[in-house]
Amino acid sequence: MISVSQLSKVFGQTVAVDRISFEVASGQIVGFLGPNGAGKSTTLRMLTCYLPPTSGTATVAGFDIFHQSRDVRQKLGYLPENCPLYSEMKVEEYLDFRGRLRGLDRGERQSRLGYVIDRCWLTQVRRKTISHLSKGYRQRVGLADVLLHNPPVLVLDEPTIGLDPGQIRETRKLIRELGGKHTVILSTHILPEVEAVCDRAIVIAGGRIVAQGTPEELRASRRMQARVLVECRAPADELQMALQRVSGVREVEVVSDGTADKQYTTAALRAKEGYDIREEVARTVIQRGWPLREIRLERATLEEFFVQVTANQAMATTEGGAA
Amino acid sequence: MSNKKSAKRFVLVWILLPFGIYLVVATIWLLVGVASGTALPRLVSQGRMLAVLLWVYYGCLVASWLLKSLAPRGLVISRRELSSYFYSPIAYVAMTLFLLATGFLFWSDFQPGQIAGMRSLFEWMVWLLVFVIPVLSMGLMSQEWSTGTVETLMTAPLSEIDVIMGKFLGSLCFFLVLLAPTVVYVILLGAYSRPSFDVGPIVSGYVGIVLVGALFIAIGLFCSSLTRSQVVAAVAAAAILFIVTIIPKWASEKATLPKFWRTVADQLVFRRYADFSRGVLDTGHLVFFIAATAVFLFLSVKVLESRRWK
Repeated sequence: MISVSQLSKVFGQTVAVDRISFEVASGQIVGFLGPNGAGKSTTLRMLTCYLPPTSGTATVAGFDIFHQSRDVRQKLGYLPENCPLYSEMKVEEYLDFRGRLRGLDRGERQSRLGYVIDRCWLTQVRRKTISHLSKGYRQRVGLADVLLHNPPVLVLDEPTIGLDPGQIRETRKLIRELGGKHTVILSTHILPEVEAVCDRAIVIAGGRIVAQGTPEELRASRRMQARVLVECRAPADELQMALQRVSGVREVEVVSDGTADKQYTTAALRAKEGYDIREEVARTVIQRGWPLREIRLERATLEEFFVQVTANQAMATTEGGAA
Repeated sequence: MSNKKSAKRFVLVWILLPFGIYLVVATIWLLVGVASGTALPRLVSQGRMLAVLLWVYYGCLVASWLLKSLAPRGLVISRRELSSYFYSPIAYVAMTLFLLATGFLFWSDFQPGQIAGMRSLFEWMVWLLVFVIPVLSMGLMSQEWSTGTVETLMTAPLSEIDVIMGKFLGSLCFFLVLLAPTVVYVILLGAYSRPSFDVGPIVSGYVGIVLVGALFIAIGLFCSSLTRSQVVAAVAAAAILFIVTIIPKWASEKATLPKFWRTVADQLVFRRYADFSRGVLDTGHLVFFIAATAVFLFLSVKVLESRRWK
């Protein structure tokens, strides 16, 4: 549905987006993940034809974003960051205006208006002035606008920013339900959002794609293998030596060496691929007579992954700059 | 085939039919006049008024065709823009001040023994517009920039021309609303002047003030599209309007002005407008106002497009 190849955007001296390429299949929900200033919004603005790319191309629903901009815009709904609305208008009035802008005729406009107001839980406020609405309702009005002309592609820039937890949950549920019928791209710097909502994540940092895949794939990627944490009363170096010899253990790292916490030492182990080392480790520790307090498999969160890849990227760019 | 047919139909219904109606009405009017043997009513005196109506109609037809082809979604935007004026207090304030000022000016001329005309009122109105129009036009684009709504606008399937034409027309409509109550003065003149007053200069004066208003709004819209701040937009627009309107007027009142600068001053807004309020409909002036308005609208479109290559 969306295909991006070698897309770049340069503002003066700064490269905001650097030759990114990706594909989004029809009906997928894709999360665009990255720290602030990573180039998420710029990419989305290029996809929605607000900004033209410096180089590279992209097609949305089969139309080129540069040469067939009007067709692309007819096919997508875009919710910009912070959800700008005409605050002096009433909700219904605003949606009606947006419908006219998209060239919906009267009958179509009325039926779609009813549908989106119902869909985005706006029935109570449909006759209220937008400036009197809470942030959560404003966001829903924005979403309703995006859905108004029933576009195959939805582009949402940070759709849950500034909402309270209840509203965030509702919004995510709505987006979740929209997947399948619509192709959704949403940007966020909130990780649980990607895990909760998206079929696939594209991690972007410094204007480049640093990783992509399903949340599970990202979590399972080599760098982020699960660790086994062992906590027992033993001298740190001896523990390390003993655990190193357990079959299947790739590396052992002493996290805390017992001086702080009454001689309890914590070690973090990484297994070779395909091994579950927990039983062996427990047996070894017991055999050596060390009192074992805890042994636990630590699953990597996407958060750690995110911090790691984006930190790497930042490091790479500073090194590049120094050289 | 059907396209050709509908074009034929269009010519028949919208162009030839009004002309036919014009001929029929004019003939009946003439015959009635001849038969009754009295002086002909104004409508066809020297065949003027009815013909003017016909030309106004054709003008509107061309304008609407231009609008349809250039800015198909423009009217949607102008509708919103017009209604948004009625939500904001500043428009009411501007309206009140404008009406108070014109009312005072009219009242000071509306005395026994004075000429039954609105010439000085029209000349003063331009002064007022130099300050009123920037206030009306300051938010047109700058508000879009500062709230970010321009992003939702430009990612909807419409062009920059749609947006600018829509905003311009919406603002022009509000200007007409602002002007509408001054028609009361014409009615008052009609009721109290003896013998009956001359309509010509008043009609041409209104044509002139609408053209001036259109140009001023285009300049205000241009300034508004350059900045996020409404204050900056208003001040910049007022400054430009001052330079093209009031300074030339002051300068041309100086007898010692060099010939070159006098020529320049005569080309600018005030001298051209003064002819309208005298009852002169000069095509040169018409072309000047329409062309200058078009230039500023064009510039505004380019400013809006400039985000693409900035």
